Amino acid sequence: MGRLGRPYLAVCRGSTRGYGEDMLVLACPRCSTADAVRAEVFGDGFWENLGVLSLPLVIAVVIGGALHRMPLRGGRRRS
Amino acid sequence: MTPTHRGPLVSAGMLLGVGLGGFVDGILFHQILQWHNMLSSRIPPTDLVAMKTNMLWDGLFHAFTWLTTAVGLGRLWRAGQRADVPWSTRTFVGSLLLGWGLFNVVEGIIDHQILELHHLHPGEGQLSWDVGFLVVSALLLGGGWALVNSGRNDVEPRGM
Repeated sequence: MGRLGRPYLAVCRGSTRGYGEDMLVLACPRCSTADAVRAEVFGDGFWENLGVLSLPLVIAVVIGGALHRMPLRGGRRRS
Repeated sequence: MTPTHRGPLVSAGMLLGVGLGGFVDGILFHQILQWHNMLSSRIPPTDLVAMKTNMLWDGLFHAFTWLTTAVGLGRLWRAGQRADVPWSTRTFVGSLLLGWGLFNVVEGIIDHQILELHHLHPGEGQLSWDVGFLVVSALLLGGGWALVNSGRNDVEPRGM
């Protein structure tokens, strides 16, 4: 499965030179933390990961949609 | 015309149930209780980068649940325009429960057990929490099915 589980501290390690690892945890001095996270998540393996993570919803939606043709035959009863 | 097709109502209710059930999971377990995040067993949210990574995947999960809810709403609208679809409260509420239970069962089996992306309440006794989650999901499925089944003879059209 894609790159899930890869240590994310490696995202912008290059920018921590001279600042120390602790800086990366709070804010990357060269690029913002959000930018780094987006670059990693939307990078290689994104579609594969998205496919896996959306699997439960896709299965549920397919089953739910398949019931569209469910018929009704019966008497009369008020709902 | 006597309503004879409740499939569109069941389908709409189930899609809405899947979407709203996903929102319950995300809002209650991810955000309010903060028991887990989408990838918290793979990328433990122990620092800001890991937390934001989980938040981004939580957001994508919520985007999917939003889309499912929107599609369900659209189908409900279409079902309401058809004279052959009975407007049964029992069928609709049962379908909502069926959808919610279905989402939970698939989530509980695939995400919690097979992929182990996260657990309901990680830590000591996490398996018990996961099993309890599946039991509640099965109850939702059973209750939903019973309600849908009890409305099988409802033939009242919308607006009556």
